Amino acid sequence: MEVKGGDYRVGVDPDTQTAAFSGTLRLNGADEYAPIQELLDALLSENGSCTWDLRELQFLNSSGINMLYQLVIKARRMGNVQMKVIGSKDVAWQGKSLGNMTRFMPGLELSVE
Amino acid sequence: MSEAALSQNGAITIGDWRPLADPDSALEIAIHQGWSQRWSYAGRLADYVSGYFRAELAANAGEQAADAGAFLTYAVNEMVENAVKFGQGEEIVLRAEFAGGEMAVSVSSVAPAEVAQRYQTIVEEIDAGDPMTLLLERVERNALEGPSAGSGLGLLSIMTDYGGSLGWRFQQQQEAVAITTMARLQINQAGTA
Repeated sequence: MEVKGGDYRVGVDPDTQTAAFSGTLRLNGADEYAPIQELLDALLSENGSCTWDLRELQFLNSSGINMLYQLVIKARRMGNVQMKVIGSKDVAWQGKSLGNMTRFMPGLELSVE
Repeated sequence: MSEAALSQNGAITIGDWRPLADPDSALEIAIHQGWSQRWSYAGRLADYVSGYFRAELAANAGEQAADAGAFLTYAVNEMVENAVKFGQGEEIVLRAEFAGGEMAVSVSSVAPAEVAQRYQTIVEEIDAGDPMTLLLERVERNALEGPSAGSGLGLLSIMTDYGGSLGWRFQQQQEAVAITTMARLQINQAGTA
């Protein structure tokens, strides 16, 4: 399962419950992010654990950041989701914005390598 | 936080509005028509501006060079996206300047009066509040209300995540309003040569 565009890919591995992101994501608002949001939403619904590997995602605009925050809040509300987010110190936006996720879901495991 | 100020020529300025005097270097790009069909160029423009100042920041910003480059890429992309979303599809002017300890980037566009009024209300709220509190509230509100035209996070995250400050200028024209949004980053030069 994956969603691909000109310069990005989001792929889901059902065995590990992991979504891997790569490229640059600068889509225009919630409508254009909907296919990715649906893919990630399904990953949340199916099981008790969910991992996002963002290390290869070089850029994400604020509409995309908002999408991820919304899903983190949904996971918090579901109550039984073990969320793990893996980022990279070498990717500027990740060092700047990923830390906010633990404000929305204190139990979220954030690893910025 | 500052209050809105009315200048001699009738323009309203809000927030940290201080055009840079005597920049060491400046880049100005004007796009005249047809932006709505070229959404993806906002990102390419942001990459270009960041690349344009890379050597200068490396030479002058010390350990903050990478942060300043990331600020430029993010701020230009968000501000141009906003101008495309809320403007009239006409001219957009992007200006980026470096002066000693500061990097400033501004985006100017023209919007219909009612759109400009809504934007002014939003920026007055940003100027009056604490950016991190507003960001957390906005994200929680987005979760309750579902998808809308804009996430409202672009400007706030320039402040909360990148340490930038923002200023705005609204200039009434015949039937529309010329809007300039300016983001600036203070560069602490301690530790540089």
